[in-house]
Amino acid sequence: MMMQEAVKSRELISALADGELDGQEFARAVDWIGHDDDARRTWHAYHLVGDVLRAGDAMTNGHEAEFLDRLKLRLAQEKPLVSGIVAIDSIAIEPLFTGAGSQKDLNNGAANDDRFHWKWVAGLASVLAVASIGLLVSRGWDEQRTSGQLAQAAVQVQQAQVASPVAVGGESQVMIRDLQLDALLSAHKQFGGTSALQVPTGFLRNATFEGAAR
Amino acid sequence: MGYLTISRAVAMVRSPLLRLTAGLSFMVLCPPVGAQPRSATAVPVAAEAKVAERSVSEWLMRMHEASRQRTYVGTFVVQAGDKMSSARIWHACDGEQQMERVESLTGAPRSTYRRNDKVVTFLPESRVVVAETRESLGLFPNLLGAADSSIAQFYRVQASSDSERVAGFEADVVQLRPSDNLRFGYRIWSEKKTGLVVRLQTLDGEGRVLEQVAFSELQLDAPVSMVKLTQMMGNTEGYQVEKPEMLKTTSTDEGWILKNGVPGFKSMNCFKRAMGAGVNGKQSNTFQWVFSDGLASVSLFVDVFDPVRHTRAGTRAMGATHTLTRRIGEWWLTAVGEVPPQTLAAFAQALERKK
Repeated sequence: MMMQEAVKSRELISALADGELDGQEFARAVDWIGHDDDARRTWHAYHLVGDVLRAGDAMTNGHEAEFLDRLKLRLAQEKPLVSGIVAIDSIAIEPLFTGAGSQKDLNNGAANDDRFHWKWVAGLASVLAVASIGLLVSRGWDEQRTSGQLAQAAVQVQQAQVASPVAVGGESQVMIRDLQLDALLSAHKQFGGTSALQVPTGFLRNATFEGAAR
Repeated sequence: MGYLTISRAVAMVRSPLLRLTAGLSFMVLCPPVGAQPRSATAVPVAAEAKVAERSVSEWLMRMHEASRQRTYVGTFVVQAGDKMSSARIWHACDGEQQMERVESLTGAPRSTYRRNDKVVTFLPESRVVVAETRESLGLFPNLLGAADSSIAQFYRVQASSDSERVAGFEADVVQLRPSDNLRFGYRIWSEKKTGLVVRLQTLDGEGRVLEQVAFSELQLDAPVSMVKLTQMMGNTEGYQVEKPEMLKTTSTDEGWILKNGVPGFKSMNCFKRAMGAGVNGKQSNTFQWVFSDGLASVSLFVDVFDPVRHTRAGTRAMGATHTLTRRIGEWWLTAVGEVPPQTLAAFAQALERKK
């Protein structure tokens, strides 16, 4: 009896995967896959079989259930992960490291494509949201899996910056400083131009003068 | 006192310096150091006496009133250090309200409008409008009116008996000499009839010109419509309007004191403002403490020390504006002002943390 049920269920999933279901049957099958781990594994297996038959390319990873479990786990650990990302991003945003930062992003994107095959689950409505979280999470994984290499590198970079800002910063450091100074000069003009000559000439002088920044 | 003899006047008219003066910004802006072009006009004795007798306050009030009561259009030129900028100016007033339009002629396009202390700057390249209130524009009578005004105490006025021509107008030449080395001096050309400032030089202790502003061309009492300026000022359609955030505060609340005051400089205002910390886009609250001696002003900016950003301590100059950056314990000070570097150093020395 159980066996028959199971065979029937697998047939239902097979029919769903082939796009043969509609109406109530369709709704029942989708609902079941949504609730039953076995059903979901079967659904995946059929897709895998189909893809292998069509493409001849073995797709052995991409277990959605595993992914979701890991996602849940990572979300549960969200706090430390988020602070880690912020710390790394704040370094990556520094102009000096923009190149490295974007390279890091590219690498992550590629790694995600390989591992998760987003196209697989593209039919599910929630995928986009999950994918965007997944990107973040998998970035966290990358960083953790490589024994915190990136984090270590970031710390080293930070140390290098502190130790020899000129060597690391060069022109960029000067540029940053000047931007700050220019902002302060303009704040001085705005609130500090306190002079009896402000109305006769001070305002015109400041509105006319370009300053060093431009 | 005394007035020019005819022969001396004629000799001056022939001076090549003088011939270049009228309407030429190059001449107006780059006088050879030490050379002081003089005018040829002999002035009646009565008028001279009046000019010579005016006090610092009277001169400044006259200059201030002129810009409140006269309408004009002109080209304004600024030279500071090795930088030069110019702008077209429209100025309108009705006795109570003042409006101004400043259209930059050099560098990035910029239009600045002012109605009394409200200032709006249009940056067409980035489609951004910066809207600010500049309190300092409304402070003037108080700066002079205070009984303990520093201006008369720290500057001596010296009016030349000769008048000079600037942008085609006869102007009185007034020199404000500092009584110590903590401030710069000024040489001001004030249009004879109205008092309008048509040229101003900032001079260092040796009398060298550090910075200069002047009209290279001026039409006094030109028709300028306030209505039209108001319309232009308010037309921000298609622009993103930004308002710099700032909060009034006090030095006590922020935990700072000035141990020994700097002679002549009084605390005017304290602000806390969100400053873009630059590249990483994070905002940091910068404390700004403003001082003035009536003519020159100094801003002390204090930030939390950041070893990555705050790397270069020292002084810099741009025309008459000097800056000093220095670490004070866990803080980073940037002092900015139209004062000699030693004045900024005195401020930096006197600033102390009390928290």
